[in-house]
Amino acid sequence: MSTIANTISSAQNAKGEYRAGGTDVMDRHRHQVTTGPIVDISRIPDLDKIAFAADGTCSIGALVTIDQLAQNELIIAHYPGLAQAAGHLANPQIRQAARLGGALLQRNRCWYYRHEDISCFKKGGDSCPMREGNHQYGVCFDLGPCVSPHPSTLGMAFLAYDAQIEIAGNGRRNIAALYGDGKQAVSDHLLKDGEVLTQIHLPKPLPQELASYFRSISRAQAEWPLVEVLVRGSGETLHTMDKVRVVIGGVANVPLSLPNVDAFLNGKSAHPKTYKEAGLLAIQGANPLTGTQYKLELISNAVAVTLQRAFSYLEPFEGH
Amino acid sequence: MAEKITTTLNGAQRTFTAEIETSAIELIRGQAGLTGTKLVCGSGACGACTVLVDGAPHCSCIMPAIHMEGKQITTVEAHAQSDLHPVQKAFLAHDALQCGYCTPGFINEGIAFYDNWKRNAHRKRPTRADIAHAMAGHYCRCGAYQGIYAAIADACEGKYEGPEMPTYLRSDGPAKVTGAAKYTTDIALPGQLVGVIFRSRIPHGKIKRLDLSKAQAIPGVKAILRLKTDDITHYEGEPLAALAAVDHATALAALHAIEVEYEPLPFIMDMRASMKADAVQIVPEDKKQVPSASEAPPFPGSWEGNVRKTLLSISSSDKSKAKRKIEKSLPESATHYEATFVTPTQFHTTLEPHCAVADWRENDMLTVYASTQGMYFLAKDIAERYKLKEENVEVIAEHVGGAFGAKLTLHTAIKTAIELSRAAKTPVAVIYSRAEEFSEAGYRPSAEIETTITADPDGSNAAYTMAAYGNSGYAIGSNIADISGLGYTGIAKSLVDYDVLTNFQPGAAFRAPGGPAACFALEQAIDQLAEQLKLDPIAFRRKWEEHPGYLALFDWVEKLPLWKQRGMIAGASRSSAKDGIVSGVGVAFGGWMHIYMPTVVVEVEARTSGLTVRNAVQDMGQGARSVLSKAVSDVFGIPIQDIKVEIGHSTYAIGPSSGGSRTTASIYPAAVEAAEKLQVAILKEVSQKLTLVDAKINPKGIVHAGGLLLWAESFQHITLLRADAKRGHNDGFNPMGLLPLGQDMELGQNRSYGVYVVKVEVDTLLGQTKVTEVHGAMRIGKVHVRPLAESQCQGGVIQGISHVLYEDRAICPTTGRLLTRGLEDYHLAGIGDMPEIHIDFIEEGFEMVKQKGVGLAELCTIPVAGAVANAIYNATGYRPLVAPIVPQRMLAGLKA
Repeated sequence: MSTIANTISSAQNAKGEYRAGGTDVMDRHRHQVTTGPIVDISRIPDLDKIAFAADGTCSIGALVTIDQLAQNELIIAHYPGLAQAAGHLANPQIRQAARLGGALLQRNRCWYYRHEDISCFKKGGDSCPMREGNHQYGVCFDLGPCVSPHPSTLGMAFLAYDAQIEIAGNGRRNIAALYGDGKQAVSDHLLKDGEVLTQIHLPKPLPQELASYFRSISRAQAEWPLVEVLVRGSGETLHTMDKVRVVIGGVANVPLSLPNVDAFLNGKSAHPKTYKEAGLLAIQGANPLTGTQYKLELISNAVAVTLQRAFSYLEPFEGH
Repeated sequence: MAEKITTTLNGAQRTFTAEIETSAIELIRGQAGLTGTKLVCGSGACGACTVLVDGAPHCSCIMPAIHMEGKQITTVEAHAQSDLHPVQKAFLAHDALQCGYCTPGFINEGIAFYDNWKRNAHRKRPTRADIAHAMAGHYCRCGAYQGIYAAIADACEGKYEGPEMPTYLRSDGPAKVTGAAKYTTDIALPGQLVGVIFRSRIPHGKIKRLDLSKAQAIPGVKAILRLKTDDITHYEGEPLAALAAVDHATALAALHAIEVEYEPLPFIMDMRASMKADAVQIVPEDKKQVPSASEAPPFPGSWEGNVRKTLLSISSSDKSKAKRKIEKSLPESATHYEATFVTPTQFHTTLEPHCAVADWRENDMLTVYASTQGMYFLAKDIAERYKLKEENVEVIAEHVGGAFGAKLTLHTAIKTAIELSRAAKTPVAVIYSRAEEFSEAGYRPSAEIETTITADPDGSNAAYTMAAYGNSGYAIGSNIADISGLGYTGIAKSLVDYDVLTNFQPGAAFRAPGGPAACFALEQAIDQLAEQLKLDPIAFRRKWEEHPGYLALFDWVEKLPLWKQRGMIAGASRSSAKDGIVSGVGVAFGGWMHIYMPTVVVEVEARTSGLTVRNAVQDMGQGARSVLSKAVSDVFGIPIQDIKVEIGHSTYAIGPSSGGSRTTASIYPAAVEAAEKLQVAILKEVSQKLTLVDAKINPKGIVHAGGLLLWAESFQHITLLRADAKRGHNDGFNPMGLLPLGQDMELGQNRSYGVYVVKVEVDTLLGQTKVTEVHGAMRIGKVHVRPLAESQCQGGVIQGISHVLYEDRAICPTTGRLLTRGLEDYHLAGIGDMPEIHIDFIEEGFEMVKQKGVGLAELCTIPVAGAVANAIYNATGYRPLVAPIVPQRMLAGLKA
């Protein structure tokens, strides 16, 4: 039976799937993809705040809406990449309703998973029908049994910030640990039943933080990404890229960091040729499906374009 | 467990109860009865259900009802409590809507944007980009985006403040911007049950067992029936059974209790596979059982395996000359071009789904509320099918939320509602879910089009052959090659159409059936051959086309600044491609038939209170109401807003079905004639009553020896006067009018021709294509209601762009099941994809037609795909043979 949990402890003890904004849960229930009980946690107090500490770090409550995140002036100033990513996901009405926690813990958008009478790993089945089926929007880094890309733009964005999630009564863990290495297929995250995500903690922003978010889609707006990229780094040293982080989404069943690309870029001069080389490095280790080969070129180009948008400010002026 | 919710709904504190699972829209439409809020996608993707929650836009379809607790909820109805909101007035003034089904959502989002803008930007005018970003979560399938941009920008600038109403054309506009307009989905009759359909889940197979007994036993199930007489299912989504229950939850539970066992049979989804000699035969023994996807009766044909060849082509000309020329043409030479073009399926995706509410009463009286584009003939078809007296059947459709060809027939939703109501002896509503809408409501067939074109080295003596293979799923009637021949009267052509059966739902007529696909192939082939011959694309066409319609369009294109700058735009963008973006300009032409219905009768009446015009026509957004009121307004000189329009009932005077661009050409002339007859009757009655001397009709009223009696004044002296007029035939001899088209349709003389010149930007790094500018000219004779005609063209353009660039059906290759079943996966063009559009009308060429004007809705969508493809070629040097030209396809093409 569905319940309303007004406190964290009642949520921990309730049986069912947590619902905050409801944008994903209600969709799945309407279309009979999910039928189990719901635990509505939207009324738990004090989880809807964005707080900056004296040391420059930032904590964001799990019930903060995506729109709050995208519009918050301090987030825009200090974590511009995060604000951009939040401002470009889904559509304005979803951003009004969807909460940060749900954005991180939402279920997959796979069209097999979302089909009410097709079984798959994520619904307790024993196969991934997308793998042999129509996987044109599938992964090109094939990490595990499920080949549908992870849906969370913000999950990807937080990777670039080395954010930590806080679990009620169970301390903090790195955002990367929320998703794992993609080898497990049952869920879209690794939280256990009864674990309630309460906060996201962001380390101090970089000195002179530069960032850009980009999503590759077919239309002008409001579409799940074919590929998405977030780049951030420090603009402190003139002409040189420093503390660079490049993360990509839409390409694997978990959001991906690209440490090889970061290492390649750090200390290099900002230059279009370098961005291009980084783009090629970004697909190292990719193992696309037959139908997702095209994503490699998209990743390379999207990484190069996003680097350019983030760092062109540092490029030395070259006269003719 | 039911929760108590206290909320402020449209300013009043209300208390409701709802389950934790219940969505806000269920409560708003159900318990609160506010049906202005529309359910469309159920996923938060389309915005039709948008309400304001403490002033911020939210999708009520995915908002839990219990989240309304303590909030201020505002639905579209709230804004109409006193004066209309400036955003609503701006929507009326800019005609920023067609069918109106998306309008409540746009109004709410628009008001939220307006409020924010007023706070933060004062009265600065927002840009298109500002508005697009804010409206990104809303679709208007009719494509009224241009009006929406203008309306919101004007409202934000403060143009519609104050109590006065703007002038507007659509007499149903106020009802649509306030949520008062009742669509079939909003009908709630006493005792009305929920009807649902049990559908096949496999693409091909034998139904070994279909057991309805457990479903029937569920309390609250009032009727259950089988919808199929034989035991073979030919496509996923095929209706097998239906039931009616007291509420939606019970109906769904019963649906799940139906037991079915299939024996799967081999299926074919791929057209080429179905054409192979050793392909599994999916065609039935009795070939007449294969349905038709066409709105017109199918031409005769002959079957070979799963392929049916159409044996008649009305548009081929100099067929043997064309074949001879092509045979002699050398494939490697500059005078020869051949290619196979591939065009995709396009789902109509009307925002109001297929639906009907049937009320079968005692003595076999039947009222059917239906989402239909042909109510008059629908009533007749229903009477015939169910053996009822015609006078006992009434079809009602006050408002229809989009159709585009998918709602021309007695469709499954209507049949099922009727049969369930007959069985349950109470009203039954059948409303398709969005997934059902994708699974059994039709689509524009996909096609492979083999095209070969040749001409003499100087460009003269052109000829082409076209063989089009249409995939209408388990249906015939695609007819593409033959439609290509509606254009270019001066060219030799041999055209043949094939239908290839597959195990997919039957297609349906979609706005200019066959036209966009034919144009995509032919106009690219012409463009390519012109380039090979080093001829200007217009100069090339001039070599063999002498029809005055085309010549007028050629002149128009040659004067267009964008066309003149064409070479420069492409060249400049390629040499200085910033971020890999290149630009190009392309042109394409199209032609369509003039169709009308001579038996249409329009009635006009005058009362003391004013004028009313009446006809059994439907308004699916095309603006039939405005065409009728404009006709009467043109005769009486009375503002359109003051003329009452009554349509949407099959019992009114004979009306046309709306398909094939026949509505305006049928109702406008009849309405003019009826209005003129009414003037004569008024003259007679009033001059007798007032003993006027030398009374005569004048455009303003009745002139007489004592002065002028204005028409509006004359009504004071009338209780009721009525006149009607039949549309009748056009002037002159018209042999084509003898073709039996059905539904009293007649093919008129001459054809309408149109052209688009478009500019695109292609991102060569990321594969995205954006159409930035569209200029069009339509030669359709007299334009009766210009803003409406422009709106039709804008809708035709954006639907065409959506077809050629974005809309992509996905099927599972292993199971044959449809995967794109919602608006997140099936990509419709949104407001951000809308280019700037400028339309000119060339008002000549139809002097023999009553009132000198013909229809437009088909013509204006035909040349879009071809023009976009030619512009892409101009920008990139890549000739896109396969659509939709999505990023992955564009990148592959650019590489090759």
